[in-house]
Amino acid sequence: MIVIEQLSKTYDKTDRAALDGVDLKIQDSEFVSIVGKSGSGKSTLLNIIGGIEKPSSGKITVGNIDLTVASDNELSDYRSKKTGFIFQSFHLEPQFSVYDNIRLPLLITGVPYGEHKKRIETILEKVDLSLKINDKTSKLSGGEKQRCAIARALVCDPPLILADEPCGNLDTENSLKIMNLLKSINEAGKGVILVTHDKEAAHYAKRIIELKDGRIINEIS
Amino acid sequence: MRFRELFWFSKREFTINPFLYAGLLFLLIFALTAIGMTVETFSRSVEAFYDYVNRIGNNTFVCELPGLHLDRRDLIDDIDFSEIYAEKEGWVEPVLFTGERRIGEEGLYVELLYPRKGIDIRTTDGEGFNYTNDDNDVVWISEEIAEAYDLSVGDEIIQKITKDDSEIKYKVIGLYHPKDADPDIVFALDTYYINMLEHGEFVNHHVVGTLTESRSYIGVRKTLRDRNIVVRCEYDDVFDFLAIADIIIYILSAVTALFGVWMFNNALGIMIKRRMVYLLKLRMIGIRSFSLLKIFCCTTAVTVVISFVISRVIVFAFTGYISGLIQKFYQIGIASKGSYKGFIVTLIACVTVYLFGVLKLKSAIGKANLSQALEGSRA
Repeated sequence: MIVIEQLSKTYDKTDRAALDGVDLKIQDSEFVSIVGKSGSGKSTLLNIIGGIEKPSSGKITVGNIDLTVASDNELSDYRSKKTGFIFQSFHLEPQFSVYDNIRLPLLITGVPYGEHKKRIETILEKVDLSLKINDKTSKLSGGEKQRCAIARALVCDPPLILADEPCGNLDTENSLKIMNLLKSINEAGKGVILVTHDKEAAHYAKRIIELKDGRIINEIS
Repeated sequence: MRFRELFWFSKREFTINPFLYAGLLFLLIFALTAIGMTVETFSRSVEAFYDYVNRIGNNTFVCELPGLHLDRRDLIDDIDFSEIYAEKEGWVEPVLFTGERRIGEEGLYVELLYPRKGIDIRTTDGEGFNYTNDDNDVVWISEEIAEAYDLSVGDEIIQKITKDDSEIKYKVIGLYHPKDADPDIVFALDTYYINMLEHGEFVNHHVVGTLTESRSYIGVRKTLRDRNIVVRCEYDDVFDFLAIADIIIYILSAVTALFGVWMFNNALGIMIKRRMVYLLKLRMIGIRSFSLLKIFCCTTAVTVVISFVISRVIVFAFTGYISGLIQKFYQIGIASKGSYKGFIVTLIACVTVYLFGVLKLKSAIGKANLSQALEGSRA
């Protein structure tokens, strides 16, 4: 379970708080959408949950890990083993093949070499990208890139998937595919936290949290 | 991170950034070759003097003195050159050896060898050859001379100095089997010097000096000139050229090396900046910063090692080419000595560059902000 208490985040370059005293609890295997306008703090919240940024104050624990006091190495291990990140801009390595991009987390987490191929092929089947396994990701379409990014996020089998505007750069058809994929991931027992400004996409989640100026202003279950 | 993963990441680095690493490689080779050239050239001039001494051995008396080579420069102070050498007509006179059974006719000479370190005279009878024999009246003679003049160990031979009609008596204490280049009679070092100081006239020397350097020779020449001793060397201009070339090459190489290191530093900065997005992606996926440092240390190390090897090959080839040129234009053979100095200095330069690169990478990774990468994704 993710427990967030009085979480605040202020960036040095701005006086305004990106997050301002957020309290939130998210159950394991829950599908939660975080919505809000640009600058509302939703991505900052996701980054803090994902161990990419540290809060200025407050506390956040994921399971038994206190992210506010975790060391750099602990945060690295948390990111590689407990979470899978999906970004709007995919953040794939364009000169790597699909296979190598998905392999990165396996290499980082030290999964035995013998398991790599099987795991990657299995995950690519799930995201329907098996035929592109040897293609460079720079040659993929937007939808294919995002599916590749999802495969990379899932390949280490993390319990929590964090998706930051995963459909932001995609057309309607591909957005639909991605959202259905996230839904199936959640149905398979993984927690999914989705940040989006798309109301339609947000409704794939069972719980919607709305942020404004760094505060939670609405919550729909 | 285990070696296998480290290898995978490092290999990908070279694969996806071939031009970046090729550029770094080029700059490193550039700098390291310059450093190697400096040291290598310095060492080569050492060998030039060595061979030079050999060549002028039959022509110019003063330059034949073994005391002029680097290892025995202290002997300059022990020898009164003014007594040995004075500019006057008919100075050099032949040395004639005679004996009880006379081993030479007038005008027919046997060859002498004054001793050198490392000489390989294999005696077949009598005492073994001793470079530092204290007896001043003993010699070793070749088997050929012994046979020709019916000499054996214990016999006495006489060196007749035609200049003042004096004589020096020597006792034969050993016979040796001569090789192709070996002379007929061999002295120990002290014997040679005593004779030199007393009579100062030998011809047909086989001079094999100890390695020294052109600037050292020029220093010796100056010392001798200060004592009003004229040094006549057919190849003086070569030594002047080598001494000047040394300085020019040294300065040029130093400037080139500094420029190369500066360029490498900048290139490394650009590389880090350009690869920062990739670094941050890996960090977001969960790689530890130390593992990241290991990957880039590994790739930098490989770059440095390749640069080192190539630069050594270039230095070796280029100095060989220069030696060839000197041989061609001045007919001076430059012996191959092999420069460990060049190797060590270049190696130190490589390690310095490597450590510098590692520190730069460490600093960059330490300062890396993961949210920087996300800025790009939101833009």
